[in-house]
Amino acid sequence: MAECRHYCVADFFFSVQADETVLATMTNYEPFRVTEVSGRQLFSLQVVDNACDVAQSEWTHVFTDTSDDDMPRIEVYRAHTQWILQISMVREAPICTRICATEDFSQAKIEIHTENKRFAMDNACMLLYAFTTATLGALEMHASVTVKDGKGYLFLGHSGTGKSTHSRLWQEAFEDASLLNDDNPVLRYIASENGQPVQVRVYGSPWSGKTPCYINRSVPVGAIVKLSQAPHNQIRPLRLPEAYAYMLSSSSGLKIVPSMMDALYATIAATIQTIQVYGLECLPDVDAARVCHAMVTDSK
Amino acid sequence: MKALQGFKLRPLGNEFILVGESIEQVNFNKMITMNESAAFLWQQIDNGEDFDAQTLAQLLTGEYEVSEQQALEDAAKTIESWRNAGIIV
Repeated sequence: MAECRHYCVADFFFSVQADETVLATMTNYEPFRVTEVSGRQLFSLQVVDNACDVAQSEWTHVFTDTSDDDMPRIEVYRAHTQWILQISMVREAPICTRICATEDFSQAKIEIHTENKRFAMDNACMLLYAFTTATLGALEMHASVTVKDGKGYLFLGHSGTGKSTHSRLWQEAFEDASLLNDDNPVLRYIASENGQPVQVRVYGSPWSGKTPCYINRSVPVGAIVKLSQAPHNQIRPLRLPEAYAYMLSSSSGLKIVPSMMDALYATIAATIQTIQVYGLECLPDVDAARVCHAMVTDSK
Repeated sequence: MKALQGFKLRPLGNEFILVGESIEQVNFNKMITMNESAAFLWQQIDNGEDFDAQTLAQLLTGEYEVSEQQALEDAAKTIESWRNAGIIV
């Protein structure tokens, strides 16, 4: 029996329609569940047996995302006004999900060809969420976020650089530091309205990589820190072009779609001119956390 | 020489950045920054038409108060930096 569930992440809503076998695996979404949609609905995702009604011979291949070897491979196609995304778990594996969506990604259907329903749904929701929030001043970022003194600190870096480790070291160094999300938080640049100041906030999400940290909470961003491994602990503020490059490579989105890229650029440019981005060369030790904290909280 | 296609010039603070954004440049992972005059020159030649140092020098003398000699030197430097960045052929 198919059931429709609604979720709210970073104050944006989306719906999923699936049967119990799929919904039962989506435990990470529970803190974000709502009974009704009381704001902007980004997308509606339906689990089906056959997602696309257009024959494969009529699909046009747009590109294949081959960013990281250990990340899912995503093939992107167009068929008339529809988008088709085919996802494989790792580089050479067969397709594990096929998603077919309307031009604006607001209506999507997914076929699941893997026993790992949770993985399939997470990938689909993350992609649809990123694509539909890009033009709304939001960035779905690959980062680990630690909260201290009411502010969120985002740690960016390639997979394996030590983002999760750095968050853990902050918790070791500071009793009052806590993890908000360990892999895919949502950052929002909220423009000034009715005399309210501009806000840059970071939100917990259902997507936290290998660490089950699903916290439906948001805090203002204190700073963003790009990590790199080094035999020392040194931190410096980054110039705008460097900050932009790291933010862009840490953000999800269909960068080859001009309107989406324009939106990502606008959000990133606004964010990095409001919040300082730093570059931290560091060891995986507690001192790194102290050095980082001292710099990013230094009042100017 | 010509400008490679698929880049977008975008303002950032008081500089400009050039990012590979189209399908042709989807794997271009360098970040190129340009000051105002370099950005001005790029915008004039990014249509993919042939140009040389002379072309750029003329654009510079037309737009800025600079001698022909200085303009040629600046043009040569700009071309070299663009070539190193991999954005012209």
